[in-house]
Amino acid sequence: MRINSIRLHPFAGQADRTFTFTDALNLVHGENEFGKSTLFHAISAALFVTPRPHKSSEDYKAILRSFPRKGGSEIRVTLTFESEGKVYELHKTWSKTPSQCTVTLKQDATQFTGDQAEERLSQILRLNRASWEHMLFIEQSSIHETIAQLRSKLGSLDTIQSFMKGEDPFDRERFVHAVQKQLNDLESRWDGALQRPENGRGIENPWLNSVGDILRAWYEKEQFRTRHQQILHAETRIGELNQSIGEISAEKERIDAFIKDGEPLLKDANRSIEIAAEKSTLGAQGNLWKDIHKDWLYAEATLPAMRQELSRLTAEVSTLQQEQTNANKRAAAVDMMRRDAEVKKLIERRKDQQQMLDGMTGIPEDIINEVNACEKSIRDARLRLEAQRLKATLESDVELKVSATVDGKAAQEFLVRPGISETISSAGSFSLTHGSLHLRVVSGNVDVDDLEHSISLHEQTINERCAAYGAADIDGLRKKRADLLKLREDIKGTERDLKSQLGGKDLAQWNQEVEALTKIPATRDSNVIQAELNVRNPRVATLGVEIKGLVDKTSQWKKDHGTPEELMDKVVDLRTHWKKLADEAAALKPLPDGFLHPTQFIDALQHHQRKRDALQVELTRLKEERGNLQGGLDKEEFSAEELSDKMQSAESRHLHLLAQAQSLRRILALHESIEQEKQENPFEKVGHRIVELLGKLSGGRYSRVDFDKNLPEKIGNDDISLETDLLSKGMKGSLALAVRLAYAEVYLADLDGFLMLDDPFTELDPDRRRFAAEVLKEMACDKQVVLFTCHPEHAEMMKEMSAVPVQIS
Amino acid sequence: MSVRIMHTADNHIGIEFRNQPVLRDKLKQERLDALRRIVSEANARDCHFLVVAGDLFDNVNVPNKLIREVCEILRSFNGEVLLLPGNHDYYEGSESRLWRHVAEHVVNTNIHVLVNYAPGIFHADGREVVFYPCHCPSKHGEEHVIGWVSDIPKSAEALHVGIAHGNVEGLGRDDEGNYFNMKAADLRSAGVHCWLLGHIHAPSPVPGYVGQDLFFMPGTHTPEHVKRTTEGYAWFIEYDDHNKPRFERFRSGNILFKRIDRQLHSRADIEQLRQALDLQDKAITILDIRLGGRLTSEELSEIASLHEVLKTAYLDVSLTSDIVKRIDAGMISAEFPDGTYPHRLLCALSAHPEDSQALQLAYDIIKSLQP
Repeated sequence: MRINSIRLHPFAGQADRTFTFTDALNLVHGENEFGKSTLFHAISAALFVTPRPHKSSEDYKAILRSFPRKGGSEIRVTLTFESEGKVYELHKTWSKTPSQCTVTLKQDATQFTGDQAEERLSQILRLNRASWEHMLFIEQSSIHETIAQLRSKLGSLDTIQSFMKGEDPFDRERFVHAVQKQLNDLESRWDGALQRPENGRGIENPWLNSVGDILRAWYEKEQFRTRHQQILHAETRIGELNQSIGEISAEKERIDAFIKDGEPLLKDANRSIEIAAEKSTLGAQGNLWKDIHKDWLYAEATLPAMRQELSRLTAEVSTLQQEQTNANKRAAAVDMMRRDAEVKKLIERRKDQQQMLDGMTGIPEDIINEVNACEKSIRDARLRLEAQRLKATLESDVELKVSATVDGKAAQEFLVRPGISETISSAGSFSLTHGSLHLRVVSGNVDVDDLEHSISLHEQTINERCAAYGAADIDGLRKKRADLLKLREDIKGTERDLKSQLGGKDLAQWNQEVEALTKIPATRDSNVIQAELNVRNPRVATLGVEIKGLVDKTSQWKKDHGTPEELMDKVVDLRTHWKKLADEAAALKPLPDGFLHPTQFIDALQHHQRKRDALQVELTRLKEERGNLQGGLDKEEFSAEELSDKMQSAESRHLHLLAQAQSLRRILALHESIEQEKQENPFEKVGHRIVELLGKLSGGRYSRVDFDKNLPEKIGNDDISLETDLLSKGMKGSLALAVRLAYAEVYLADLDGFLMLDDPFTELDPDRRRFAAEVLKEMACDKQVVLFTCHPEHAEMMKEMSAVPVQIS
Repeated sequence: MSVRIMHTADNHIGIEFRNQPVLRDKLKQERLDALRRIVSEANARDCHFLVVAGDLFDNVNVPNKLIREVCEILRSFNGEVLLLPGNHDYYEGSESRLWRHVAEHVVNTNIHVLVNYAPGIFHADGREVVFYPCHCPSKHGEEHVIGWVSDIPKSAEALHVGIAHGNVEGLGRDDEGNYFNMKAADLRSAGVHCWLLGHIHAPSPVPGYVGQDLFFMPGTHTPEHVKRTTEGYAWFIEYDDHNKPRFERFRSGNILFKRIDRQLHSRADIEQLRQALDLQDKAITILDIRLGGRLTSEELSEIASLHEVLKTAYLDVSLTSDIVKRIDAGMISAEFPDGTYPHRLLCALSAHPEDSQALQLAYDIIKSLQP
């Protein structure tokens, strides 16, 4: 709230005067009796004193004092102000005539009067009267007495007391307990997270104890909903039942009519079936006998010819079987003759091989072994000589022709030229001859001569054995021995082949059988013979069976019927009886239309009877169900429409209670938030600001304040500490101003308000005055400040601080 | 000569009014009286036919005594009465208890119960009038029962009138499709001059209607529920020699239901409520007022006084009030010192309109804790 203007018309000594204010620092300057206090009180009265104060109240006395001294029965104040961007005009009249006392509050076209105007004004002021008067209306006398006044009024100024002491008489625990109890009363047994009864216990298994209002409303709603659905279901089901009953009844009526018409025809229909069955039996019997008669005559006519054919065929089969035997024997002889030619070839080959064996010289295995041993000894001796290989280098100053014998070979000549070395190498020994010189060099490690002699002896033995068996060398000897062994193996193979061809027989037996085969007579091809047998054999078998069957049948027929003529008489009797039955059937009642056979009719009749019984059972069941449903509906207190209404009401109530629970939770959350704030020291902020302002107001002389119950007890700096009671008047004034301004800042922190000070600098020396003026100037940047003074120098100083004199008209 | 028809439906005689224990007997009697008014008006207009297009009775179990009384009223009509079973008084077949009783009371009378899906041929001053009755066979039906009417050949000379009961798309709501729902195209394709319908409790067509589709729905003949805004009507329909129609509504109801829902926040709102309550026909109006909002103590007292006044003026008044005492920053500051817990809590709640219920609850609890 910011004051734009106030008109006093009249008020106390002012007949009709208007004071106009700016938004920032306002200055009301005038000497005593100018009317500063009147203006100060008029603003207070406009905002806080009702048009009809109680006669015993201080307000009443103050208003009485404000009536014009020169008579007049009423005083009026018109205050214009802004709040939250809106401009208001407040008009109050206090009169000695109660009916003339009025209050109006206008905002554009809206006008409030009486209590409504007071109520609206109080909403705009937000802070209560005490807050404004003690914190924001700072009178001259209270500046330097601030601390003492606040101390003495702590007991009576609720606002200040609670704020400054950080205490609150309200019992928060009781409050929270009451909220929680209400919440519990609402939510007991209700699962808020799942929005359903605790443990899902619906109306089919409801909670009985400790049921909260929400759950109770939910149960009520669900019960109405269930009942409503049951009614709808019952009504729908009754509709379905009615339709079914109607359809079944119509079907039953149709069936009843059929049964009613059909039952009288049942006896004749049954007789008709009996006659038809008897006729059928007779017909079958007659047909059978006629067939027997026909077959009997046929058998008697055909049996002799069949027997004759069987005899002929039997003889032909016998002849064919003999021919087939011979044919088989001849087929077997062809193979044996082919094998006999092979036998003869093998006998001839065996003979040739024997002659060749007889012509070959036998080389015993010992000879071969001896020759092999000699060959091995020669090889071993040569290896030992090789191990004793000698090497000689020949050099000569002149060209020499030298003969050398190396490796036991014949001597060879070669030239040794000057400057050229010639090297010779030989196993065990070597010889050199030049001219008369004959040199033989022998290894000294082994007996070379003995080894060479052994080689010579063994070579001689080998040569002798080869010569003895006509072989040129040892390999020839070995080949002869191999050829002999192979021929012997070939003879054994020939003998195995011959034995195989003979098939386990000896040669004599074989030759005897070959001789017998040549004597078998010639036949046709075995396949031709078999084909003729294949034709005759089945026919022989069939004829035999047929003949036996006919013989058996005729025997039986004779036994049963005597002769064919007697059998024909029996057939004639049957036909006569059949005709009688046909006549009886023709006389029976006809079947209803649509039925070709009595069985079909009887089946249909029986089917209808069964169906009628089933339909009757179904009808009874459906009617019983319908009766039960209808009975249930009759017992229902409310109709579906009424229950629907009730269900909606219950649902609304349930939702309302849920919202109520939500609101209670919101209260608890807010409580927690406030409790958290409570942990912070609300005075701490104010205390810091007091210290800060005191520093400014004292020109930095004091930088510390000690508080007792949130009011300054001592002030000082790093060096001194002074009790507030002992401070000079001026310093008390500075401290008091610091306290007032600090609290005013707190009160106006979130408020669009104003601060009024009446001569706050009276007790201050010029320096402190300037410090205070600067502080007020700074404060006026954000809040409306109205400063009253009767001191011209104070006014001048404030003007220097950009204070604007209030316009008076 | 013209053909004159009085058309009513949805009379719901036998409804129990369990939610109106005080006025129950009066409301039940009004349903019979309204029917008498219709018969009387039909006689006064020299109608040839009185057609009841379904739901003459509220249910199939109405007592026989009441059936007899209704039949006696209808017998007093001078012309022919055509009764069509609707979905509340459906005809399920020859075993129908309700219609068996009706049949007993209408033997050799002018009352015809229409329970066959077949044309009924009548004559009015020598003119042939063919009615095509389509009764409801049950309380609920997923499909309409008027299909057969279009299959019947219709002579050019006669007046052809369909009678059916069920919802008509566009006129009423049948979200579940349970009430023999008919479309305008179904009714149009039947080839009749008009349809006399029942089921929807609001009348149609609107007065002054000039369209081609003549689907007459009279609505209930006297309102039976606070949701019903109709005053209760029957249709008077007249066809001239050229089958040109003329129709007008006849108010048959003599009782009214009125529900008023208001949110009150100021004296101006109360004044507007006062004006809204200054209705005609107070003596026959059953008033259901539901109030919410926030008011001062004085304003709440005014509402209480107003209630007392209304009780003497109206047939019946039911007042449901959820109005709460207005709590705002000014009131909070006036009652609780700044900085105190109640002040802080209530101010915080009052700063948010969505917390209004929480504010009220908190205020009530705080007040209850004060000595």
